[in-house]
Amino acid sequence: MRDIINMTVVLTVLCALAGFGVAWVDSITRGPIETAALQKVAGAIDTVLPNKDNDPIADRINVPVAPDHRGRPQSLTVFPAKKDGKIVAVALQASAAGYAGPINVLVGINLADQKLTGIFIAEQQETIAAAQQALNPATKEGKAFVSQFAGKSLKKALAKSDINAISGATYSTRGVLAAINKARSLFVKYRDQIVK
Amino acid sequence: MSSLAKEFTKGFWDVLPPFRLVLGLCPVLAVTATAFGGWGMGLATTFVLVCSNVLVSLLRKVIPAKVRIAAYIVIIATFVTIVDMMLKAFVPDLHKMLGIFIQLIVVNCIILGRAEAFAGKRGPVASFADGLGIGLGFTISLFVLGTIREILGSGTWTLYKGLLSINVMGDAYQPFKFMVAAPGAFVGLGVMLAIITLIGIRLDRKKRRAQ
Repeated sequence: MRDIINMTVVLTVLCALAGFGVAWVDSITRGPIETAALQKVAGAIDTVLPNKDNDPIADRINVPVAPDHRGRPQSLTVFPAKKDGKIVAVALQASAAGYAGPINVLVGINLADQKLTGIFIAEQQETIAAAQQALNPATKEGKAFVSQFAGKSLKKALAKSDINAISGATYSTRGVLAAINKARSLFVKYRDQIVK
Repeated sequence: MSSLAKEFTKGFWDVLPPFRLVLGLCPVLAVTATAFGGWGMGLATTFVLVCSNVLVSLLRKVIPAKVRIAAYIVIIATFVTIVDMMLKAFVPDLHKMLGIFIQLIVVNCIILGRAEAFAGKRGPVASFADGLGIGLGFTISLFVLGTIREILGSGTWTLYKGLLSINVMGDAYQPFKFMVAAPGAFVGLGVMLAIITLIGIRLDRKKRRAQ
């Protein structure tokens, strides 16, 4: 009997201490892990937020949004571009269904006139050749398609007539537009919390 | 030689884990496609081995014999989780490269083997020396195998990804891709084992003749 109690106590204490140890290391490493993951999008943020004098990743704002279907808290990460300490533009990600999968777009929005500062296709699985070219900023077609968004007004939701669509890839065009409009509605909804 | 130095140096030859004991082969095969992966995995394992050895040794009188394996696994898993989070935070490139094999250090038989065979019976200082020696021996083994496979298979020698990578074979070299693929790991390990065994036999013979 003493044996069993001894074993139970030792193992329980050991596991509890291990739990505390791991939790402590987690509290130290959580910040750096998040930063390291975000460093990958640093280049994309630079292309959609060209005019700034701060580090948008370090200054990122986490806005609490509605919880998901299981009731877990969710947050929206917004990257602000600042000039002289004031936010002049923000970048945020949104995704919408394309032709073959979700299209994830990083959208940069200017605060003063609510115009697009630029977009970056962060993720896509389009299969149509025309769509692949148009969504890849390394190609000529890609530059033409993606760069036309800069300067478009987001006062109203972006419509298909506002842009030059990708011919032969209607669904991909629609997906990009839908993602931008999703980002727009998030921006409009949480604007007051982003710009305090 | 003092006994402490002996505990430290035995890990470099007498009980060199992958090549002399043929232990812990899973990471040896999996992460040695580059020299960088080799020493990264080796050092991560060394850290876990040293920490678990010292802690197991300190707790050897507290842990009841019947649950000692469970206790060792808890200790080892804790340090592995710590290494996993640390690498993810501060060396994300290495973490991405090693992937699941970091978590798999938990079931690396070298670590549990040292806890059971050595640290559970000896003092913390000797256990520290034992863990450090065997860990570094393991690191060197992985680094050497990674170097051979990478130079033959990719023509490069990556000491640190993105910072220090040497194009050893020159641009005209056609990479022998087989060596960086999974079967190449077995062949590379087999050749290394053969060479190490051959050296071992020669050394034994010399020793016997000297007597």
